[in-house]
Amino acid sequence: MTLLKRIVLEKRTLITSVAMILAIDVLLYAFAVYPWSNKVVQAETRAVQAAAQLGLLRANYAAVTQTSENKINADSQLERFYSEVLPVDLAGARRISYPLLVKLAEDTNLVLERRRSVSETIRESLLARLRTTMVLAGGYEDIRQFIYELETAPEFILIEEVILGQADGSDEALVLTLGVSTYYWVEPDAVS
Amino acid sequence: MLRTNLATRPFYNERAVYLVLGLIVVVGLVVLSYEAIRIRELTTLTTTRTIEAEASERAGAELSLLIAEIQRGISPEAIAEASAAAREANLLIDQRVFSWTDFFNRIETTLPADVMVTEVRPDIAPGSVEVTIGVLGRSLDAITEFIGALEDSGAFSQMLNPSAELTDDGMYSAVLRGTYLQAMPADLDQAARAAEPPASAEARAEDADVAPVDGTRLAGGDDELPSEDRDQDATEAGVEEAEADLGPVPTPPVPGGDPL
Repeated sequence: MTLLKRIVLEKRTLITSVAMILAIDVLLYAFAVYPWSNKVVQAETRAVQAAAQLGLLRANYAAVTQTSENKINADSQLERFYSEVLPVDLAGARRISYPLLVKLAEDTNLVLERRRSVSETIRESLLARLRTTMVLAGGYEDIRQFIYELETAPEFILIEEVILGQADGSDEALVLTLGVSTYYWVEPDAVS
Repeated sequence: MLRTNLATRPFYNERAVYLVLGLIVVVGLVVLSYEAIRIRELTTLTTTRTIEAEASERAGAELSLLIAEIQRGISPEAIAEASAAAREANLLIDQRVFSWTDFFNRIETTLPADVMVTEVRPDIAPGSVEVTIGVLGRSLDAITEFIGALEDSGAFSQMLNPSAELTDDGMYSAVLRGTYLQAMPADLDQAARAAEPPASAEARAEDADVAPVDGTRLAGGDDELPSEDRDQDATEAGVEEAEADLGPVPTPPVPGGDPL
């Protein structure tokens, strides 16, 4: 019998205990530590993915909220533009065409020779346009003054076209053909 | 010397055996302790990560619901309609702030004596103003000189004379087209300096509010709504474009040229 065999035989109780401790170590690793490690990796992956998804959703939410706020803001500004800046209806627009333009012409010593107004709807728009063409006669400075008064008037009126010509039989007098427009909001039903 | 050991149970160093076994036991117990601690850590970590993941998933689900709810209220069609309406309104405001007085001042300073302006028609688009100017000139050279003067003034560019014809009274009628670099004051001081009415209107303008409309451009015109970096509020006039507040920017008529 070799010495090793003799030691194993004589100390088998102690050696068995040591072996059991080592076996418990191995089993604990195999059936607890290793599986739990995998579970942690899976849980971390899940947490990271959920956090990333949440980040995307938060960005999406911010964008959607911003869009919503912008739309509300735009709607409110448009509402204000339609109701406070533009004439509220055709009657309001007509009041700009007459008497405002006529009064301005008189105030600036221009003679209104002709005036023509036409109302038209604009395709795919909630606005309609009242376009007025005026033929005015007078001096150059008066015409300049008229244009200045017109463009600084509080009413929303756009000068779209200016045609100047020499008046017949006068070197000083000019004829101004002015195309102006103003816009007003129309009911969607009226547009359709 | 006799070296043979005649003992039936020869002596060996038991202490060494105990020492080795004891060391192995110590190592085994240390490993066991480490594993126990590790298991506890892993359990806690797993629980924490799971709770975090569940919280994120729950928050994500709630956010998804909120997003869906908000999106139901703002359909792409509604956004497109609002964008189109804002674009249209901004275009009208751009047209409204176009200063004819300033424009005529610039024409007057550049108009040669032999040329007269007969027609002016601006085509205002977002960011640019194309102008069509009808002129009558005694000669084509005078008209060409006018084109050069317009461009030299810095207020016009890309001027072109696409057509010219001799009229019955011996004058040349021409149509000029180009880009009008509308005076947009870089700062309020510059605007204030420029904001002087024609002489005859000066007195009246002192009492009048020269800003014709709230010239603030509306949000959501040129860009899509979601990308609105321009955070404007029409009720806070002049946030985006200071010059818009000033309305048309008239400058005094400057002698020069023979307007007609």
